[in-house]
Amino acid sequence: MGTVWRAAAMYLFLVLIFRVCGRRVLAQITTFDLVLVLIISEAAQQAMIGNDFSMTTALLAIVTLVGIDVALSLWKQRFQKLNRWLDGLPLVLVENGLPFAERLRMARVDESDILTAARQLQGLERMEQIKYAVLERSGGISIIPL
Amino acid sequence: MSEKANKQTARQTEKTGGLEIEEEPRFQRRSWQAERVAWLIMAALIVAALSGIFGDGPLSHAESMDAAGTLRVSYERFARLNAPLRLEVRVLTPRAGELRLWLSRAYLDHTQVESISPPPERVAVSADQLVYFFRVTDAAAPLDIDFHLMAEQVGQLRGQAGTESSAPVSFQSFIFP
Repeated sequence: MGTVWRAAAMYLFLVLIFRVCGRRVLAQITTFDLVLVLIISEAAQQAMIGNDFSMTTALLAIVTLVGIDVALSLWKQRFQKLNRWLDGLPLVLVENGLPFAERLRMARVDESDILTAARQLQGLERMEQIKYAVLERSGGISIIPL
Repeated sequence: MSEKANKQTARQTEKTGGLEIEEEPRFQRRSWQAERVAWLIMAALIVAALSGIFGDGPLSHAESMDAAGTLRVSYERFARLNAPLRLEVRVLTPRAGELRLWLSRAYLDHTQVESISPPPERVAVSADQLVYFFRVTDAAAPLDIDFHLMAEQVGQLRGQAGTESSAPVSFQSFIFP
Protein backbone atom coordinates (compact mmCIF):
# COMPACT_ATOMS: atom_id res chain seq x y z
CA MET A 1 0.00 0.00 0.00
CA GLY A 2 1.46 3.28 -1.18
CA THR A 3 0.79 5.27 1.97
CA VAL A 4 2.91 2.99 4.13
CA TRP A 5 5.92 3.30 1.84
CA ARG A 6 5.54 7.02 1.50
CA ALA A 7 5.15 7.53 5.25
CA ALA A 8 8.22 5.37 5.93
CA ALA A 9 10.28 7.15 3.29
CA MET A 10 9.20 10.54 4.62
CA TYR A 11 10.06 9.63 8.21
CA LEU A 12 13.54 8.42 7.32
CA PHE A 13 14.16 11.38 5.05
CA LEU A 14 13.11 13.85 7.75
CA VAL A 15 15.31 12.16 10.35
CA LEU A 16 18.22 12.56 7.97
CA ILE A 17 17.41 16.15 7.07
CA PHE A 18 17.10 17.30 10.65
CA ARG A 19 20.31 15.55 11.59
CA VAL A 20 22.01 17.46 8.86
CA CYS A 21 20.52 20.92 9.21
CA GLY A 22 21.68 21.24 12.76
CA ARG A 23 20.01 20.84 16.12
CA ARG A 24 19.14 24.46 16.67
CA VAL A 25 16.29 24.41 14.13
CA LEU A 26 14.45 21.72 16.04
CA ALA A 27 14.76 23.73 19.22
CA GLN A 28 12.88 26.56 17.44
CA ILE A 29 14.93 29.33 18.87
CA THR A 30 13.87 32.02 16.43
CA THR A 31 10.42 32.65 15.01
CA PHE A 32 11.68 31.62 11.63
CA ASP A 33 12.75 28.24 12.94
CA LEU A 34 9.14 27.68 13.95
CA VAL A 35 7.90 28.81 10.54
CA LEU A 36 10.38 26.49 8.87
CA VAL A 37 9.22 23.50 10.89
CA LEU A 38 5.59 24.32 10.07
CA ILE A 39 6.29 24.62 6.36
CA ILE A 40 8.25 21.37 6.36
CA SER A 41 5.35 19.59 8.01
CA GLU A 42 2.98 20.93 5.35
CA ALA A 43 5.21 19.81 2.50
CA ALA A 44 5.67 16.38 4.05
CA GLN A 45 1.97 15.83 4.60
CA GLN A 46 1.05 16.71 1.05
CA ALA A 47 3.31 14.06 -0.39
CA MET A 48 2.42 11.38 2.13
CA ILE A 49 -1.33 11.56 1.90
CA GLY A 50 -1.97 13.21 -1.47
CA ASN A 51 -5.53 13.23 -2.68
CA ASP A 52 -6.71 10.58 -0.30
CA PHE A 53 -9.16 11.94 2.22
CA SER A 54 -10.12 8.67 3.83
CA MET A 55 -9.76 7.99 7.53
CA THR A 56 -8.09 4.68 6.71
CA THR A 57 -5.17 6.33 4.97
CA ALA A 58 -4.68 8.84 7.76
CA LEU A 59 -4.68 6.12 10.39
CA LEU A 60 -2.32 3.96 8.36
CA ALA A 61 0.11 6.79 7.84
CA ILE A 62 0.11 7.59 11.55
CA VAL A 63 0.50 3.95 12.53
CA THR A 64 3.42 3.60 10.12
CA LEU A 65 5.19 6.67 11.50
CA VAL A 66 4.70 5.75 15.13
CA GLY A 67 5.60 2.14 14.34
CA ILE A 68 8.91 3.13 12.81
CA ASP A 69 9.56 5.40 15.77
CA VAL A 70 8.99 2.55 18.21
CA ALA A 71 11.07 0.15 16.11
CA LEU A 72 13.95 2.60 16.03
CA SER A 73 13.79 3.19 19.75
CA LEU A 74 13.94 -0.57 20.39
CA TRP A 75 16.84 -0.91 18.00
CA LYS A 76 18.64 1.95 19.72
CA GLN A 77 18.40 0.13 23.03
CA ARG A 78 20.35 -2.75 21.56
CA PHE A 79 22.89 -0.81 19.52
CA GLN A 80 24.29 2.21 21.30
CA LYS A 81 26.00 3.38 18.13
CA LEU A 82 22.65 3.85 16.44
CA ASN A 83 21.71 6.13 19.30
CA ARG A 84 24.65 8.37 18.51
CA TRP A 85 24.07 8.44 14.79
CA LEU A 86 20.38 9.15 15.05
CA ASP A 87 20.26 11.54 17.99
CA GLY A 88 23.76 12.91 18.25
CA LEU A 89 25.66 13.54 21.45
CA PRO A 90 25.64 16.48 23.83
CA LEU A 91 28.48 18.92 23.33
CA VAL A 92 30.16 21.06 25.96
CA LEU A 93 30.43 24.57 24.56
CA VAL A 94 31.69 26.56 27.54
CA GLU A 95 33.88 25.45 30.43
CA ASN A 96 34.57 27.71 33.40
CA GLY A 97 33.59 30.85 31.58
CA LEU A 98 35.69 30.13 28.51
CA PRO A 99 33.88 29.21 25.29
CA PHE A 100 35.42 26.67 22.89
CA ALA A 101 35.63 28.82 19.76
CA GLU A 102 36.14 25.89 17.38
CA ARG A 103 33.11 24.02 18.73
CA LEU A 104 30.94 27.12 18.62
CA ARG A 105 31.91 27.67 15.02
CA MET A 106 31.29 24.08 13.90
CA ALA A 107 28.01 23.83 15.78
CA ARG A 108 27.01 27.26 14.41
CA VAL A 109 26.15 28.63 17.85
CA ASP A 110 26.84 32.23 18.85
CA GLU A 111 28.12 33.43 22.18
CA SER A 112 24.95 35.51 22.35
CA ASP A 113 22.88 32.30 22.04
CA ILE A 114 24.69 30.95 25.09
CA LEU A 115 24.22 34.17 27.02
CA THR A 116 20.52 34.18 26.14
CA ALA A 117 20.16 30.67 27.52
CA ALA A 118 22.13 31.68 30.62
CA ARG A 119 19.77 34.58 31.25
CA GLN A 120 16.62 32.58 30.58
CA LEU A 121 17.54 29.46 32.50
CA GLN A 122 19.73 30.64 35.33
CA GLY A 123 19.40 34.39 35.44
CA LEU A 124 23.13 34.77 34.90
CA GLU A 125 24.66 38.01 33.74
CA ARG A 126 28.04 37.23 32.24
CA MET A 127 29.95 34.42 30.54
CA GLU A 128 32.32 34.20 33.52
CA GLN A 129 29.45 32.99 35.71
CA ILE A 130 28.90 29.92 33.53
CA LYS A 131 30.59 26.77 34.70
CA TYR A 132 29.37 24.61 31.84
CA ALA A 133 27.18 25.33 28.84
CA VAL A 134 26.08 22.20 27.00
CA LEU A 135 24.43 21.96 23.60
CA GLU A 136 21.97 19.17 24.23
CA ARG A 137 20.77 16.64 21.69
CA SER A 138 17.47 18.44 21.43
CA GLY A 139 19.23 21.59 20.26
CA GLY A 140 18.64 23.53 23.45
CA ILE A 141 21.48 24.88 25.54
CA SER A 142 21.66 23.94 29.21
CA ILE A 143 23.62 26.05 31.66
CA ILE A 144 25.38 25.04 34.84
CA PRO A 145 26.31 28.08 36.92
CA LEU A 146 29.47 28.37 39.02
CA MET B 1 29.27 -2.32 37.36
CA SER B 2 32.12 -3.86 35.37
CA GLU B 3 35.68 -2.61 35.61
CA LYS B 4 35.64 -1.41 32.04
CA ALA B 5 32.55 0.76 32.58
CA ASN B 6 34.10 2.22 35.72
CA LYS B 7 37.26 3.19 33.87
CA GLN B 8 35.26 4.76 31.04
CA THR B 9 33.23 7.01 33.31
CA ALA B 10 36.38 7.98 35.21
CA ARG B 11 38.11 8.96 31.97
CA GLN B 12 35.21 11.08 30.80
CA THR B 13 34.69 12.80 34.14
CA GLU B 14 38.38 13.63 34.17
CA LYS B 15 38.07 15.28 30.76
CA THR B 16 35.29 17.64 31.65
CA GLY B 17 36.30 18.03 35.25
CA GLY B 18 33.28 16.78 37.12
CA LEU B 19 30.56 16.92 34.46
CA GLU B 20 29.15 13.44 33.94
CA ILE B 21 28.38 13.66 30.26
CA GLU B 22 28.81 11.39 27.28
CA GLU B 23 31.14 13.19 24.92
CA GLU B 24 33.10 11.85 22.00
CA PRO B 25 35.18 14.50 20.20
CA ARG B 26 36.12 12.14 17.39
CA PHE B 27 32.53 11.17 16.73
CA GLN B 28 31.53 14.81 16.86
CA ARG B 29 34.13 15.78 14.29
CA ARG B 30 33.08 12.99 11.94
CA SER B 31 29.48 14.02 12.49
CA TRP B 32 30.32 17.57 11.39
CA GLN B 33 32.18 16.29 8.34
CA ALA B 34 29.17 14.21 7.37
CA GLU B 35 27.02 17.29 7.84
CA ARG B 36 29.15 19.31 5.44
CA VAL B 37 29.06 16.52 2.85
CA ALA B 38 25.28 16.39 3.17
CA TRP B 39 25.13 20.14 2.53
CA LEU B 40 27.08 19.68 -0.69
CA ILE B 41 24.65 16.98 -1.76
CA MET B 42 21.71 19.28 -0.98
CA ALA B 43 23.27 22.07 -3.01
CA ALA B 44 23.86 19.68 -5.90
CA LEU B 45 20.23 18.54 -5.71
CA ILE B 46 18.99 22.12 -5.85
CA VAL B 47 21.19 22.93 -8.85
CA ALA B 48 20.05 19.73 -10.56
CA ALA B 49 16.41 20.57 -9.89
CA LEU B 50 16.82 24.10 -11.23
CA SER B 51 18.45 22.76 -14.36
CA GLY B 52 15.43 20.57 -14.98
CA ILE B 53 16.48 17.06 -13.97
CA PHE B 54 13.22 16.65 -12.08
CA GLY B 55 11.12 18.37 -14.70
CA ASP B 56 10.20 21.90 -15.70
CA GLY B 57 13.59 23.18 -16.69
CA PRO B 58 16.04 23.61 -19.56
CA LEU B 59 17.28 20.03 -19.39
CA SER B 60 13.81 18.63 -19.34
CA HIS B 61 12.16 20.46 -22.19
CA ALA B 62 12.26 18.53 -25.45
CA GLU B 63 10.69 18.52 -28.88
CA SER B 64 9.97 15.76 -31.34
CA MET B 65 9.09 16.30 -34.95
CA ASP B 66 8.23 13.97 -37.80
CA ALA B 67 10.52 13.78 -40.82
CA ALA B 68 8.18 15.77 -43.09
CA GLY B 69 7.89 18.58 -40.56
CA THR B 70 4.12 18.48 -40.30
CA LEU B 71 3.77 17.61 -36.62
CA ARG B 72 5.75 18.80 -33.62
CA VAL B 73 5.31 17.55 -30.06
CA SER B 74 6.78 19.56 -27.16
CA TYR B 75 7.10 17.47 -24.04
CA GLU B 76 9.03 17.14 -20.79
CA ARG B 77 11.74 14.50 -20.58
CA PHE B 78 11.34 14.35 -16.82
CA ALA B 79 8.20 14.69 -14.76
CA ARG B 80 6.81 13.72 -11.38
CA LEU B 81 4.01 11.48 -10.18
CA ASN B 82 0.68 13.21 -9.55
CA ALA B 83 2.09 16.43 -10.89
CA PRO B 84 0.91 18.33 -13.97
CA LEU B 85 2.39 17.05 -17.22
CA ARG B 86 1.95 19.01 -20.39
CA LEU B 87 2.05 17.84 -23.96
CA GLU B 88 1.94 20.55 -26.63
CA VAL B 89 1.11 19.32 -30.07
CA ARG B 90 1.57 21.67 -33.01
CA VAL B 91 0.15 20.73 -36.37
CA LEU B 92 2.26 22.79 -38.74
CA THR B 93 0.39 22.19 -42.00
CA PRO B 94 -3.26 21.68 -41.14
CA ARG B 95 -5.96 21.02 -43.69
CA ALA B 96 -9.38 22.59 -43.49
CA GLY B 97 -12.10 20.21 -42.33
CA GLU B 98 -11.41 17.47 -39.87
CA LEU B 99 -8.15 16.93 -37.97
CA ARG B 100 -7.59 13.48 -36.59
CA LEU B 101 -4.92 13.52 -33.89
CA TRP B 102 -4.10 10.17 -32.34
CA LEU B 103 -2.15 9.42 -29.17
CA SER B 104 -0.92 6.02 -28.10
CA ARG B 105 -2.83 4.36 -25.30
CA ALA B 106 0.45 3.16 -23.81
CA TYR B 107 1.00 6.75 -22.77
CA LEU B 108 -2.56 7.81 -22.01
CA ASP B 109 -3.44 4.75 -19.97
CA HIS B 110 -0.85 5.75 -17.39
CA THR B 111 -1.82 9.38 -17.25
CA GLN B 112 -4.97 11.18 -16.31
CA VAL B 113 -6.21 13.63 -18.88
CA GLU B 114 -7.11 16.78 -16.98
CA SER B 115 -8.07 18.86 -19.98
CA ILE B 116 -7.45 19.25 -23.67
CA SER B 117 -7.26 22.73 -25.03
CA PRO B 118 -9.05 23.18 -27.43
CA PRO B 119 -11.49 20.41 -26.51
CA PRO B 120 -11.99 17.80 -29.25
CA GLU B 121 -15.26 17.30 -31.02
CA ARG B 122 -15.26 13.59 -30.32
CA VAL B 123 -12.95 10.77 -29.34
CA ALA B 124 -12.62 7.37 -30.99
CA VAL B 125 -11.12 4.45 -29.11
CA SER B 126 -9.10 1.56 -30.46
CA ALA B 127 -6.94 -1.07 -28.82
CA ASP B 128 -3.74 0.91 -28.98
CA GLN B 129 -4.80 4.47 -29.78
CA LEU B 130 -7.13 7.23 -28.81
CA VAL B 131 -8.11 9.40 -31.77
CA TYR B 132 -9.18 12.96 -31.10
CA PHE B 133 -11.27 14.70 -33.77
CA PHE B 134 -11.00 18.46 -34.16
CA ARG B 135 -12.86 20.65 -36.64
CA VAL B 136 -10.48 22.97 -38.48
CA THR B 137 -11.94 26.20 -39.87
CA ASP B 138 -8.78 28.18 -40.57
CA ALA B 139 -6.03 26.15 -42.22
CA ALA B 140 -3.72 29.10 -42.76
CA ALA B 141 -1.83 29.04 -39.45
CA PRO B 142 -0.31 26.15 -37.45
CA LEU B 143 -2.66 24.63 -34.91
CA ASP B 144 -1.72 24.24 -31.24
CA ILE B 145 -3.38 21.57 -29.16
CA ASP B 146 -2.41 21.34 -25.50
CA PHE B 147 -2.91 18.22 -23.45
CA HIS B 148 -2.90 18.85 -19.69
CA LEU B 149 -2.17 15.51 -18.09
CA MET B 150 -1.17 14.09 -14.77
CA ALA B 151 1.22 11.15 -14.59
CA GLU B 152 -0.14 8.20 -12.66
CA GLN B 153 2.71 5.76 -12.88
CA VAL B 154 6.36 5.95 -11.92
CA GLY B 155 9.08 5.11 -14.41
CA GLN B 156 9.58 5.46 -18.13
CA LEU B 157 6.49 6.55 -20.04
CA ARG B 158 6.74 6.14 -23.81
CA GLY B 159 4.22 7.64 -26.16
CA GLN B 160 3.53 8.34 -29.77
CA ALA B 161 1.36 10.82 -31.54
CA GLY B 162 0.40 11.47 -35.12
CA THR B 163 -2.22 12.83 -37.45
CA GLU B 164 -3.88 11.14 -40.43
CA SER B 165 -1.30 12.77 -42.71
CA SER B 166 1.91 12.44 -40.70
CA ALA B 167 4.33 9.77 -39.55
CA PRO B 168 4.24 8.84 -35.84
CA VAL B 169 6.19 11.13 -33.53
CA SER B 170 7.75 9.53 -30.46
CA PHE B 171 8.31 11.06 -27.07
CA GLN B 172 9.06 9.74 -23.62
CA SER B 173 9.09 10.97 -20.05
CA PHE B 174 10.66 9.57 -16.95
CA ILE B 175 8.29 9.97 -14.03
CA PHE B 176 9.83 10.48 -10.59
CA PRO B 177 7.87 9.22 -7.60
